Amino acid sequence: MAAVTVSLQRRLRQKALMLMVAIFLVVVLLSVFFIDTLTQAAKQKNLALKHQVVEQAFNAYLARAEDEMKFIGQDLSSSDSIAGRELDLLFSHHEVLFFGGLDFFYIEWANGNYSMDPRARLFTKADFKTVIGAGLLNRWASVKTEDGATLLVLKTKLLSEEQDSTGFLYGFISLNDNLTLANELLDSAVVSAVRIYDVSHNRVLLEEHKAGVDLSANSLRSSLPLISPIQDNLQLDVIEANSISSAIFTNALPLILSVGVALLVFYFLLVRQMKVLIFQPIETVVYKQEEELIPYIELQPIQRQSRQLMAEIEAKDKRFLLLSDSVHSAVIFCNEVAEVELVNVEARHIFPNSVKARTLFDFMPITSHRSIQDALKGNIGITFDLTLTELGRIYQWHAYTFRNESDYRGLLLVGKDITQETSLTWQLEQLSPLSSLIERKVDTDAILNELSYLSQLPSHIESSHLKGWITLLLSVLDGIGQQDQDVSYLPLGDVFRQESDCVMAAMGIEATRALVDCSVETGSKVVAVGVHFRGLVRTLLMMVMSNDMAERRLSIRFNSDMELEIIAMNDMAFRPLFFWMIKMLSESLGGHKKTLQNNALQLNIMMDVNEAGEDALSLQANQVIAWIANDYPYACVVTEALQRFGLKVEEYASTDSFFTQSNVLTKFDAVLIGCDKDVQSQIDMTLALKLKHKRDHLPIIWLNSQTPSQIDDSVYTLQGCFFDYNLYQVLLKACEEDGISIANHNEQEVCWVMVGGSRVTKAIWYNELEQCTIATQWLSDLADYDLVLSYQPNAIIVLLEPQSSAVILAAQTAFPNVRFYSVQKWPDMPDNVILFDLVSPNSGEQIRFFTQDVMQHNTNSRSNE
Amino acid sequence: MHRLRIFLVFLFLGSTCLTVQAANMALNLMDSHDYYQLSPRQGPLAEQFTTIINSPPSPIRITQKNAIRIALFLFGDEDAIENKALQMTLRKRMRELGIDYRLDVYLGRNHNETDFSAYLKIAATPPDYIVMTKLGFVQRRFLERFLRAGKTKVILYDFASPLTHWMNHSPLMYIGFDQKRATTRLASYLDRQFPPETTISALVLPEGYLGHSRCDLFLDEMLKYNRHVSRIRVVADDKQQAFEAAKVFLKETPTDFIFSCSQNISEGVVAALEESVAGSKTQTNAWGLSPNGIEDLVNRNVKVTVLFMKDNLSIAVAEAIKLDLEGKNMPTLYVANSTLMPAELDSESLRLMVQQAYQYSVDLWRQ
Repeated sequence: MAAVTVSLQRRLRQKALMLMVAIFLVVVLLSVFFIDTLTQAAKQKNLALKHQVVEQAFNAYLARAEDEMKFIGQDLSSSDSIAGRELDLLFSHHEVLFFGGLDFFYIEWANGNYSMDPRARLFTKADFKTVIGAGLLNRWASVKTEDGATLLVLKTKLLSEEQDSTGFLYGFISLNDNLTLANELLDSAVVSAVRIYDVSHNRVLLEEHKAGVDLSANSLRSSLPLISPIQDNLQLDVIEANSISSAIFTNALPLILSVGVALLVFYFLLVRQMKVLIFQPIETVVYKQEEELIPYIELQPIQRQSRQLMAEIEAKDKRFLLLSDSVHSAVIFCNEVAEVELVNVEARHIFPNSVKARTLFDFMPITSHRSIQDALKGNIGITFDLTLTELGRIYQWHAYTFRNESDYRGLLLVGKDITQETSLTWQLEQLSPLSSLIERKVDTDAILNELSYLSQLPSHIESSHLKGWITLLLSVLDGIGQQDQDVSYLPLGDVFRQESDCVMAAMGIEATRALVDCSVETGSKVVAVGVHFRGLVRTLLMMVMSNDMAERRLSIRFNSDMELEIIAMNDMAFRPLFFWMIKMLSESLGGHKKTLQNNALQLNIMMDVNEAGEDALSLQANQVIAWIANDYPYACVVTEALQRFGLKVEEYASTDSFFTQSNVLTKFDAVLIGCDKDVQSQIDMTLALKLKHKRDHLPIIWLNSQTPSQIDDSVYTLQGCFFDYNLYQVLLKACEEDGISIANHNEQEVCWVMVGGSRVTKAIWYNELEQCTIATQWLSDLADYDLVLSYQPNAIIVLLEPQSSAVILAAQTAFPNVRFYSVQKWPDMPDNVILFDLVSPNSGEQIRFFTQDVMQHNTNSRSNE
Repeated sequence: MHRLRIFLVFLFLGSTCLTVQAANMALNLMDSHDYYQLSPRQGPLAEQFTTIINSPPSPIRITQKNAIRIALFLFGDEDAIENKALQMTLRKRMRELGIDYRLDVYLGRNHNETDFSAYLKIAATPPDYIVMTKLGFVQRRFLERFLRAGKTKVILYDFASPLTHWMNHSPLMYIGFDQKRATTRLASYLDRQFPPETTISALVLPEGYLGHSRCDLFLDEMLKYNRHVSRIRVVADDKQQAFEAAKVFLKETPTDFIFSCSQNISEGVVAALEESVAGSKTQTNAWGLSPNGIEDLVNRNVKVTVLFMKDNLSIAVAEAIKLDLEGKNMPTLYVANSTLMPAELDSESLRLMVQQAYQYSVDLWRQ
């Protein structure tokens, strides 16, 4: 809000001035009005007086005319006038007639004659009989003739010496254009206009006004009855032009000026008195903060209020000082130019120089100056430590800025003694933090939840599965509990292979159906792997492999060089133990966990990647891989993976198709044999190939969906889950072996087919025959002889156990070149079986003899043919 | 006293020089109508006073310390019936009112105005009340000193036209009749009575109060009624002069009616008529009652008499003094009634009318 300040004194002055001006104006107007009214009244009075004067002038005029009449009357009475010559006589005698008031006269003689003043015709042409009828004896009367002449007539008797009436004399005053009378009336009282009005006959007798006077404007008018010898009821109007002149103002000017001066003086006196009586006391109150009570009642409340406020402020000040002294912190207030305003006891204790100092910089150590300056500039959150060696204390100072009473930036420095804290911190740094231990503790609720879940699993779940599950959980929990300090650098794929292998081994067949999406490139990155990472991978694999709801898929890829992104499809939403574990593990790895829309768990972990990995071997593009799917569930996945590797793939649905169709190609760099449940066919095929090629180490890879119970050492197996890297690594290893060339094997020496025999027997025979470099194929019986014999039409079949003669005969019939040898005799042995009776158990020597004999026999028999 | 005498001499000399102008008389005198218009308070007071006059007397309510002195200024013959009637009525009324008074009668002579002894006497011992029965130029100036001093109250008897210049120091009362009204009424009556061919002559007074208010007015009225006054002669208010003039008239120009402008003229004319040839039908008029007034009416020498209620004037004087003593409000002008008494009335009616007009002094008139 824009504060508008008002000076009371000035306001009062203005108001008083306005009041004075208003009063002045009112007084001026009133005085002008008053003077005007007085003047008007005086003029009215004056006019009444003038009225009388005019009246007198009029009456005097009439009296003069009357005198003339008397004169004429006496003249006529006294002189012996000759009849008819009276007028001549009168005219010749009296010049006075021509200057008198009487205009003309008329004599009516008693004998009926009349004499008329010839002047009469100048005034009227009317018949005088009617005119003189209006005349009254010794009284003036007004008469208006037919031709409009207004006359005043006076009638007197004419008397003879005998006092006999000889007739009447009529004297006339014409009022028409009677300038003499009018001018006498006007001049007598100096008025502007006169008018004589006959009220009884309602006619104007005389009207005259001064030339050059405008009567239409403001004029004073006196209209009173005219007291005159005239018989009629007359009224005399006297009009005087009233000029509303500047004379009024001229008259009023001294009064106005004196009023103005008086008001001005009064105004200055008032202002002066106001100043002396009101404003000066106020000023003294403002500037003198004295203890004694102000003698002015009106100001006492203000004083009381200000005293109360002062007392409150003092109390607050005291409280504040007490507070500042009791906080066990050094408190320093300073203003915008770092002048010290308040230093509490502790601060004084720290800085003894502060008492004498003017600014902060005078006593604060130089190291703190920059921080103080920053704070004064308005920076916030400024803290700095000061170590006071002489006191042996460490103070942590916080600088707070604030707006002080002058609206400038002030500074509050609060120094906290952190000596003990610091020493405690140092001590604590030697101890492992308690919090981490607490965090490593297993979430009991989660475990209970998991256990209750496991207890409710359906009954057909095998105990081994459950056992494996618990084992895995424990191993993970154990890993969580451990310090992740032992780090080894391994390719990522190897980690996954190992862990998946572990999990699969523990969980059994169900676990194998997971798809791990880990490319060769990803898998070959060498990363630092600790217990926690392994535990995390294991947990994720457990989650994925136990997933019954959706696709069991685990995708691993690097978003950047360092950031590993793992997406695990799972149905673990209600099994908090896993999430807790993942949380724990990922937190310790610095990972970031996120649940995607399809409930998949996404983990982003910054991995420690060792770029300088060993030179990886790689497959050549022209290498040929035979892929015998059998009942392997994800055959197409394998095909796609192989194609991704850039290899030539020959697919075969089964072992039979491999053997039958393999005539197109001559050599396979590796043979992949898939298997789900029909393990025997896998073993048979391996055996067949071994027999055919007469060597044990063939580039054969077994792809099992579940870990087979017995694994041939000579073949390569895919440990753990199937994924690109895993396969690639196995292929690399397998391809180091010599490839399998199908055409050559057919031309080579006779293959021995060993039928039946106990395990021990077989082992003995295998060893002996191996030494003799005889390719062998091992069959349990001759039931599927055609499978083996079709590849080995000239095979030497050694029956280690008695076989059904019908089968032997049938085989002989089907493959005539086949030679049957038996090492023991049985009752109905067919004839085509050549018996070499060997004492059981078969010793190595016996077998060597047998072998030589057979070989010889065979050579002989063939040469015989 | 010496000064007064000189003053009076100058006054007399001045008055002879003064040509009284008839037209100016209108400026100096007011008739009752004008007066009541000028001072409207007077109207109701006059009506109340008239009621008092016509009512039986009620005695004065205050007790007088001394007897009041009343100077009654009479003119003419002291033994004249009018003067006697005046005194008689006044005394009677005063007695009835129970006022303690002393009446000094002074006599001024009509024809010898140079005798101012009465004035001097009055001036020497100023009475409480002066009742002046005639107002002329001498009386006017004589009364003015009393009016101005105010000690002596003045009552103007038989003069009902207030003077304009006396408005400031008005007399106690003007008591009289409206002459103009009486004259107008008379002229009207005569006009109605006379056939058109009646010839009229007139004996008029010289210029003066009565000459103006009666004679001039009568002539003007006649002119108004288109009656030609064949002969007019100015005579003094004197029985003898009127007698001679009437004789001249009767001899030179016999007329049907000779207008007499005053009672004295009327008496002169009647005497002339009686002296003249019996059987002449010339008649005249009369103003007031003459000692043989009734007789003149009966023998038809007088056609009509203007009968003034004269006793009312005397009663008014007494009542005015009473009211003044009581300090009550009173009018300044009292106009008594007048009426026409035609000759056609029977004697009984005439007697009753006289009885009414002279209720106190009727006995005097019957002698």
